[in-house]
Amino acid sequence: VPVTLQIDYDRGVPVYRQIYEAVTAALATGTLARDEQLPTIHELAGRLEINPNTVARAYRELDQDGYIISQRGRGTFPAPHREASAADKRPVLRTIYDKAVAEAARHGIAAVEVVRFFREVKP
Amino acid sequence: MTVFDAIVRLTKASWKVLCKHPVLVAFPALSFVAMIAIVIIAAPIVGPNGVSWPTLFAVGVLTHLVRVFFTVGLTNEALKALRGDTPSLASGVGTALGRLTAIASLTLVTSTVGFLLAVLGRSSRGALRIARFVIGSAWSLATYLAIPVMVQERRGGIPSLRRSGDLFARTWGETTLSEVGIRVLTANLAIVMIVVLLIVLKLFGESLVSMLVIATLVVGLSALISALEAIYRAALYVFAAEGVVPEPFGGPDLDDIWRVK
Repeated sequence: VPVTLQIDYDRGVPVYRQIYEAVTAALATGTLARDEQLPTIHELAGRLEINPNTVARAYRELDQDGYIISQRGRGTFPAPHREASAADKRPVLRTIYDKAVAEAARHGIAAVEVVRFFREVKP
Repeated sequence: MTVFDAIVRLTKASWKVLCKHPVLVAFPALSFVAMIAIVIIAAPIVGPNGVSWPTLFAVGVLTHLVRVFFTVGLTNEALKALRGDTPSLASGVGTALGRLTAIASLTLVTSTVGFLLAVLGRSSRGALRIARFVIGSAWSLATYLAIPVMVQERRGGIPSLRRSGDLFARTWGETTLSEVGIRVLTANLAIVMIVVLLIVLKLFGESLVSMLVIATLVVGLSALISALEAIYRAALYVFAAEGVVPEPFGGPDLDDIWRVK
């Protein structure tokens, strides 16, 4: 399954929301192709050892927000022609930021210095 | 919806799960039998001249360890039942065996706190007794979800206690409701037990049959309450950590109860 998902209970974010963010992040980065089927509710719930209602809620909200389409009898697929919004990219950016801060910390550089440097850098 | 209505509905939802998976009641039943066995074995140590605090503490830790062990198994299977899977005694015991280190550390911490609170509670000074009640209630609420956390998130004993405190901040209303609910349920069942006890004594007098009937009744009803509570606790954990209400705790009848802080 193209959606990389590892539940992080320490984040303080409900699990259904973590699934939501993982799917939007996979769509934003292109990890999840437009024609690729998402795992079924029971498959994903079984793999993550969580309640099926949790996956169902994540899928329901993704469907309502126009990210995915659930087709009876066929499965769940990414919705066609939806450009990744700034909000979609936030979880990806968060991961990049966390990795940068962790790497900087290994070299004795504070998070605030990383942020200051990012501000100064011209793309 | 009144608090009493909420308690009745939540108990009914737990009851529904228990009726579908009666194996869940085997965990607390085994736990009570094992704890009674420990107390019987430890009885000669106590002797006629009372018992030292360290011995009392050791017996307390051992019985608590047994209780936590079976509660871990029960919670694992209750979470499975709420997912729609089939629970089993073997799977629950297997899970508990695999978490022995975490179970031991949780037991040691909670037993020590419980023991200190008990010592505090024996004081004749009113202020200390009030302090014991307040600290005891706060401790019991803050650690309410420690076992589901240990089972589902595979954390150690102390990290589970810490995480339970974090989750309590999100579900203090539901947790308090559960604590109150379990006390109301226990009080009601205690009345039933007293009535049955009086009937049994009237019918059989102070005989071995009476003692057996009463012991079976006490263990059976206590196991029932523990199983119902563990199921609700598992549902509360799913609500707090995953953000959804598992079946059969959802639906229009129960939606008013669950509120995310």
